[in-house]
Amino acid sequence: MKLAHVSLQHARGALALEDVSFKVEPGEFVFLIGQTGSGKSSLLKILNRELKPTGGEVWVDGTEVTSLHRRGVPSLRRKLGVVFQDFRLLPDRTLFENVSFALRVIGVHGKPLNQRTIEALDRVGILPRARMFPHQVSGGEQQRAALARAIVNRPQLLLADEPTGNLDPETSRGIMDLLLEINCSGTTMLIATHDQPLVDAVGRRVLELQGGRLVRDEAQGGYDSAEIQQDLEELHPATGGSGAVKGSEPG
Amino acid sequence: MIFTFMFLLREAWLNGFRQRLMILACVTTTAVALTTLGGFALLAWHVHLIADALPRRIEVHIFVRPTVPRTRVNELMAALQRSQGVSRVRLVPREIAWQEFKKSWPGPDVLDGLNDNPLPDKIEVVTTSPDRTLTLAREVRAWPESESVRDGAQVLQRLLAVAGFIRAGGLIAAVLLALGAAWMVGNAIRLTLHARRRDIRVMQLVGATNAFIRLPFIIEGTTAGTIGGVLAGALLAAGLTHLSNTLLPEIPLVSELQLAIDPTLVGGSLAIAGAVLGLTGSIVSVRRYLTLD
Ligand SMILES: Nc1ncnc2c1ncn2[C@@H]1O[C@H](COP(=O)(O)OP(=O)(O)OP(=O)(O)O)[C@@H](O)[C@H]1O
Ligand SMILES: [Mg+2]
Repeated sequence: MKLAHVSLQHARGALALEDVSFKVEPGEFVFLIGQTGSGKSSLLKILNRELKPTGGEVWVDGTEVTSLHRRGVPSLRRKLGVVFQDFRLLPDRTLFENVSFALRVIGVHGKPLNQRTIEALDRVGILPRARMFPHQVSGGEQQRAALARAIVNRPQLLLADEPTGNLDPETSRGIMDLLLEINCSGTTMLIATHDQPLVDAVGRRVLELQGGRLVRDEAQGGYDSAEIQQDLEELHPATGGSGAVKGSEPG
Repeated sequence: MIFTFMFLLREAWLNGFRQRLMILACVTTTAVALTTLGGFALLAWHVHLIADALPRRIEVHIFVRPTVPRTRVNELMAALQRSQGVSRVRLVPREIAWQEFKKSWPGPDVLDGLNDNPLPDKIEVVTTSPDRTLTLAREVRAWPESESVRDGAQVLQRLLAVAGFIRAGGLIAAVLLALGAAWMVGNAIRLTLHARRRDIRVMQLVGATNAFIRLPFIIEGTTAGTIGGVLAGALLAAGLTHLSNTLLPEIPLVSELQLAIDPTLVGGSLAIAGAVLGLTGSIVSVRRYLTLD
């Protein structure tokens, strides 16, 4: 996955992304951080062609996404799993149906459909809630259902937009462990988040956006940049960021 | 493939159920439109049948006064045969006409009082040209032996005018109604699309192809149209059977004809027409209102 000089100007809005370039190798686990409005969601939406950038090139698994013909879009999206910031579960379908929906759409049916759906629900720990409707379960459970739907078709690349937003730290940690586990089986991960402690705890590659520009790319970063963390550690040695801090490294 | 199709059928059913009032409106409109269309088509067809039984354009039918003896009739026929511009002369004897008439009369009881044959002898003359038909008709009308004369040109012209009117009026009405029905279906599909836009968006985002997303809506529209067509067919067949048993035998000319209705044919063609309307309406709507990407 590669972005080259990508910029995005929303229809009537400000410049959401400006000359963003980076590369993610297969199997990597990458956090995308930045203040609200810095362009994280916009960047993820460019990757699954929900949005077309106004400039630059985007490569996913050898396909250039921006110039992709409309007919090619479904096959691009089948390679991706996406956890949307607003879940996008269908309110009139059970969690099971919501998850199996992603398989129906790509022509899976019968026993494999049931098996894989149950597997995915079980993996995110909401199998007991399978027959419930989204409004009958908690926000965290909805979020996990959204995650189950994103992984059920075994995507090569998982895009997650705030997968731990609105969750308590413990549940967040659980989701993050799940994401790491999924990553271990080879799925490339790009996770947009505000969750500072979690980013610090996991200690993986961090991309930081600021006002639509990529301002940091650290191989094993924390939520704050290395310099700030050093400053913090000097001030309060006990509460410093966790994880080894290395210098920034171009993608 | 089959499983996917079953899933899409179920999706179509769910869509339809959620929008059942709209679908009902679709079915009703289609039914009304197709009943009108079918009604006009059958009317035109029967006018055509009636026209068939009337003297042709180049025929003159002479009804001879009942008092004229058969020998005189034969003399008249011989004279006609000799005159210019006449290609054939044929006699329909009153006895035979009477037998035919009695056979075609549904209730014999009405005729019981009539022992005498009230029908006249009929001479059918075929001329060589429509102009000759007119002049010949004028000539034979002057005969003291002729009671009445039907010349093909006149009767047929009037009938054809009526038929033309029915056909044109019916066609316009039917086309308008059919367009209206297709529009209704299209509109219902548009509302369904709007109601389901979130589902559609999610389907698109998890990689559904356009065909997959569109099919349930097209199935839904086509089904609604087909049901409307079947209803129209049933309505029309029932109505016509009723008419042919009650009203039609009372009307002269029409009573002589068998109503040429095959209910399954009527029902079948209207069902197909309904399916086509529904298909057209939903495809147009889906192409127009289903935003891609
Ligand atoms: N559809 C849109 N039309 C116009 N402007 C938009 C649209 N979507 C986003 N923006 C603008 O683009 C910028 C980036 O938005 P984006 O949603 O990518 O931010 P974000 O980093 O995901 O924020 P958050 O952390 O709050 O989710 C913001 O200034 C936002 O107002
Ligand atoms: Mg966002």
